[in-house]
Amino acid sequence: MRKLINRPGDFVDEFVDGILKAHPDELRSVSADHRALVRVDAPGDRVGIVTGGGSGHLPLFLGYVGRGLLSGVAIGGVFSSPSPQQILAATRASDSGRGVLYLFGNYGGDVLNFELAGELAELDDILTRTVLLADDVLSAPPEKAESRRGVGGLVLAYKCAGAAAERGDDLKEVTRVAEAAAAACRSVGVGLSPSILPAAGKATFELPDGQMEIGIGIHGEPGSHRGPLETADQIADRMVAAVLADIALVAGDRVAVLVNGMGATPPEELYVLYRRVYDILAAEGIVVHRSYVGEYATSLEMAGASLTMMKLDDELAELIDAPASSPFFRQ
Amino acid sequence: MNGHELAALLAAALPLLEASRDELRDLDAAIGDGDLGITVADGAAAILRDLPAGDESVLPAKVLQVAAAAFSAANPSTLSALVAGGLLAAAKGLGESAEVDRAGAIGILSAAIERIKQRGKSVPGDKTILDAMAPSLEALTHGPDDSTESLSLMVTAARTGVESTTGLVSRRGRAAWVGDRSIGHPDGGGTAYLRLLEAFQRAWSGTVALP
Repeated sequence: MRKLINRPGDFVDEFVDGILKAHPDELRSVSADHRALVRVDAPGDRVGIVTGGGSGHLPLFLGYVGRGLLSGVAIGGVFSSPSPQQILAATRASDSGRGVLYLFGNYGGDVLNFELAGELAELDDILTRTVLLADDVLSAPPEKAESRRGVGGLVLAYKCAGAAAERGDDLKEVTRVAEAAAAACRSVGVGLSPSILPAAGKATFELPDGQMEIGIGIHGEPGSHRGPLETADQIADRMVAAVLADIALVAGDRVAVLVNGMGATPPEELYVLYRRVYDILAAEGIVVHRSYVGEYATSLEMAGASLTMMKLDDELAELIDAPASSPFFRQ
Repeated sequence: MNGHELAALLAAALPLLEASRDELRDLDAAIGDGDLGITVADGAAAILRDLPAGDESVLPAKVLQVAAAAFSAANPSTLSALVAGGLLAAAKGLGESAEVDRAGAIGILSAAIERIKQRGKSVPGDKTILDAMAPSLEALTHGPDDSTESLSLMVTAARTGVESTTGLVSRRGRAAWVGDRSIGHPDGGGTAYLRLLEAFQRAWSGTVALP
């Protein structure tokens, strides 16, 4: 293990401490353990949006707390869910009286803890709604689409729901927008090397040199195909095909495209992938309305990438174009 | 039993769980991550701290809500989240009722079981707390009107349920990762529930007046 860390058990506390020290004008802590953060001007007069999940995925999840994005976040240990109390702390600090949307990825521990947090918030007379992202197409077949994991689509859903909250929409509307955004996203990942948990010091999965795994999850969950590493174009072809097999796109449709690095893959390689994705879509007459290329949802030092496409209607296009800013995201 | 009496019953029973801390830790360490003793003992202590004061008039549902919030905050874990969710579901079922009678107790236990089943995506036989809860509900539902006798039957049923888990393979939670190695150990969550019922039984027979 070659990591810039101190005691492995202090890893999360120390990177959160660093983020708070680096961005005091944008984020503040609202729990004694600093595992619940909100944007510095929360709650404002907006509907709150709270997310959360395990650490090890920056910029997910806390990196999207900011203007035109999320109100608050609960931060779990590495690859493990935040507690109901951490979620509740973020919820209380995000509620202006107009309610709070929980927007997060479909993972068992997170679902359980957000459900309980919502019930505890209800005892405080805070109204909550929940929208889950389940955009990872290769994590379950279409007939079990609701059991899919949430990955890169979260970023695009944050962007749209956050823009709706920022313009003053009520909880019902922000929830509707988030549902529409979540339903319009499809993602697929490829892993080239595993991530290493600081506390365990071991790889999360084994992948022999020269092999790739298509459909890999952001915690190294197994994918649908393992085989010899192919060219960037061949991998892009597989990824686009997996997405298009799951969502109907025809000539003239508009999409937002996110090509995301998993942590150890350089931006150059992401642009090599993006180039091919763009060309395939252009050949089909599908219009890339907005593109994001870079690290948006990582898995520590995993090498690999993911592709997310979101089918846009007029409303989602307007929301995805709205300004936003956080320590990790500016537009 | 009104809310005040329910709080008094908890205040009498929960301190007894401290004695189970090491037993539950060891059971859990054999096939899980070993934090069950802390979850249960610290959770019980947290509930005791937050229970409404003796002279306060309080609804039974409120007592369960307080217990849920305190238990889940003490040491976050899957079990504490499931138990807290079960308590909140039970509180919802009680609504504004000022008294918990036998039907109320059946309602509390069934609501908690249903919520844990649904949220934990498990059924009896998966080697979970449900393997102790479900038989005790059966015993209560079909038991006599006398509370002391009913409680005694519930304890016996829960104990049989827990013993039956020794031969099972864990299908849920961290214990599921060890697969067949979980055979030979009784389920920790089920054991914790049994210890709670035993504590209720002792409190009921000794320090708490019958409603």
